[in-house]
Amino acid sequence: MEFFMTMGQFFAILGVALAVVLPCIGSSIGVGKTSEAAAAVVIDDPGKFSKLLILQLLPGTQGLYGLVIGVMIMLNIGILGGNSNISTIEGLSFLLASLPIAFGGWLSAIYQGNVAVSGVSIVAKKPNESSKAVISATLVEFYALLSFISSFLLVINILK
Amino acid sequence: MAILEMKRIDIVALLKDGKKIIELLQRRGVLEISKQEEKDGFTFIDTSPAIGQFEKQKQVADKALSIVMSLCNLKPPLSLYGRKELSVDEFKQRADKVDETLKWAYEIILLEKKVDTLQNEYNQLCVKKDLLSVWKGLDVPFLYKGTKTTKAFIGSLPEFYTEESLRYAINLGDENLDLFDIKIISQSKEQTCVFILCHNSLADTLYARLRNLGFSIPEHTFSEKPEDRIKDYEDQMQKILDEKNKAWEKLLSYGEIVDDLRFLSDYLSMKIEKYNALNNLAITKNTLMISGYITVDKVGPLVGELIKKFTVAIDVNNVSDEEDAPVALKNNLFAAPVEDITESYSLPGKGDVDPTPVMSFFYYLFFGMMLSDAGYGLLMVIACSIVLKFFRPEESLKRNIQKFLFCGLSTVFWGVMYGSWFGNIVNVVSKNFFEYEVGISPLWFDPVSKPLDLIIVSLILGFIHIVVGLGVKFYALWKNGDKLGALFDIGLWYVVFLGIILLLVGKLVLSIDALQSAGLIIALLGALGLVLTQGRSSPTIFGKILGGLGSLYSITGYFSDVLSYCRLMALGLVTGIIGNVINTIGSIAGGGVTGGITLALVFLFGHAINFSINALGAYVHCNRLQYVEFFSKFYDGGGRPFKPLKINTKFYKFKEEK
Repeated sequence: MEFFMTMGQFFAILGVALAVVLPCIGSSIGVGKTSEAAAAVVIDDPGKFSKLLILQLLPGTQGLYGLVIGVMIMLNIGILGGNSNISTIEGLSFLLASLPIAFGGWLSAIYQGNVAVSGVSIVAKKPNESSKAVISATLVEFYALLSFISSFLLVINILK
Repeated sequence: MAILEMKRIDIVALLKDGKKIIELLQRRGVLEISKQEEKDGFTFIDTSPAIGQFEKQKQVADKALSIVMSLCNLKPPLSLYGRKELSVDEFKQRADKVDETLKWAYEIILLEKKVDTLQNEYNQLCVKKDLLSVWKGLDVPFLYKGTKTTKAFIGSLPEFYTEESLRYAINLGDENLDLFDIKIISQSKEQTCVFILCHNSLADTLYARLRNLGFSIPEHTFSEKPEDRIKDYEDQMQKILDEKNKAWEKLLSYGEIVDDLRFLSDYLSMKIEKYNALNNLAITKNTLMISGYITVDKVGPLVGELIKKFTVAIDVNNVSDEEDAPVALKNNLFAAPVEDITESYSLPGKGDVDPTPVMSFFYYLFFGMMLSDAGYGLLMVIACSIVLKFFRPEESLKRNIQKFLFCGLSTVFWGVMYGSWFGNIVNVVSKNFFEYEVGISPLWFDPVSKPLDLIIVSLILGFIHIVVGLGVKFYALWKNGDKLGALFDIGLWYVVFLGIILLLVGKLVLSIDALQSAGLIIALLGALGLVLTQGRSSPTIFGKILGGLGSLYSITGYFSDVLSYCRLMALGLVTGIIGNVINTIGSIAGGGVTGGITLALVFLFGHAINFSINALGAYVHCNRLQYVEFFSKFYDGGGRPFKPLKINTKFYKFKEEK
């Protein structure tokens, strides 16, 4: 029990890891799938590369949101300045606070990737309509943003 | 609001002037020609065979151009400079050379094919020569059978042998050693080529032994010695190589006419466009009739010019409501750059107003808020200004650059408000290198330490955006005569919003009870009004009530729309924090020279990535806010873009004679 009471930093770091790793996994799946689809189009028409690049990058932002939450936790528990000293409850709170972006970012990146893959065929067949493909993909991204905002608000208020 | 008024124009002219008139129209680029209806007495010109031929020629020209470009390592002209301008005289000069250029284009394609074939032949000979080269040391022809008393075996064995080991492998016994002679021509791990001469008496046994070892006789049937044959191949290869080089050099020399080829391609696309337009004309024996749409500002000059130069009768009419007239936009310098954002959603349809002017302000504002770093904004402003000042980009590119110039200015504004200059680079540099931390403090507030304030600001801006969108709807309804609709559909919602604002302000900011209850009453009155009016199109009483109640449900729509603007906060925050993280990583090596170099490298690389990802994010989310939250309030779209007959070229444009 006593040992458990000193595990604050452990839980907080677990939170950092989840916040960064899961959205990054999701983003790499999303970006990867879109890029594969885009490559097939670029073979025939290299001129469409710049339009496709926008679609390819869209599912990549979740990784960034995750990183931001990760860094915010690090800053808040003071681990960047050396050793941190937080209680187990606080550590667990950081862990829980990381969950919205961890899961919201992870899954939304994958689903956004699916939308972007379909968008690639819009660009391939009707390049003038590409903005519609991009907008459809941002519809999904909004939920990653909501997750990010809730994680962010939780993280900065835990130690207040 | 600026949708240009369209006029319908009908021109009747003499048939003999037809080509010249079309050329003039193409140069002016102001008239969209529409297809003539079938009428008695009119016939149509079928230009499709000619068009087909031009298209084929254009393919040739384009192919020749791409061959020359890739051979001579020429880069396409930088798009920042736009198309090259040709005067009328230059145009005529070049147009005279078009036939010759086309001939060259055909020749270029033939030459390229020739080079290809020659290269193939060369490769084949190369393979043949390689196969033969293992026999180079053989100084008799393959067909050599031996002398009167001897027999010759020429062939290969599928293993490595020296003379000794082969003798041993053949194993004809010591007494026969002198009766045969082995000469190894060449040897490798995979095969050994041998020439064996033996006495006739031994021939059969030897052949049987050799066969057991896997002896095979080559299939070459020529009568020269292999060495001579190889020399022969080499001569042929040299000849092919010479020929290929000659063709190659000739191809390279065509690098000089790359400009002519470009002109040819442009010339042909102009012709194709022109002949397509001719398809739409109705002609009689001596006259022709052109109809089309023209924007109102261009009617005067065009009519004047046509009357001055040709014998024509011109009729200009207003566009009727049933007609499917095209749409063209015209906006001031501030709004025009975002016209393409409107366009890529959809052009205004009937009854729509042009959303561009209202949108432009919010577009720049929101973009800046999401990118929100003064350093990045400054870079955008500088880069865009340089391009606009020192280059001559084409109109569409120029507008894009202007758009990002305004976006950059807004980004600087918000960066200053938030105190973010490449993240916190000033703090990091001053702390690491001068031991005294200074920073640029935000003009308004620091979003990282006060994120709630930022959310509230974002939501308020979003609310304003939506209210303005509804205002535009109000304007459009009012202008189109549906004044009651404007008051009921929009005005009553305004009442509800006003009530809710008073309620919130009274409760959260001022804590005045009277204000709260006043707000509540106003909101309820507005809601009651909505219930009473929103079902008015329904024929039955029951339907009217149900429709009225149903309309209240859209309050949830407004609520979620407003919430959607918290992306303004989230994206702005992400830029700043990632910028700070980059600076922190860069300062890991501390101060001094190494620290400086590390910081510089990390700074350049990190901020380049952060800038591009966040600029992309700001751009797409900005578009989304306009399309989904803003346009949905008042805008239907569905207009057809105005596509005048004009000179649609890739490399050259034409100066107008004045």
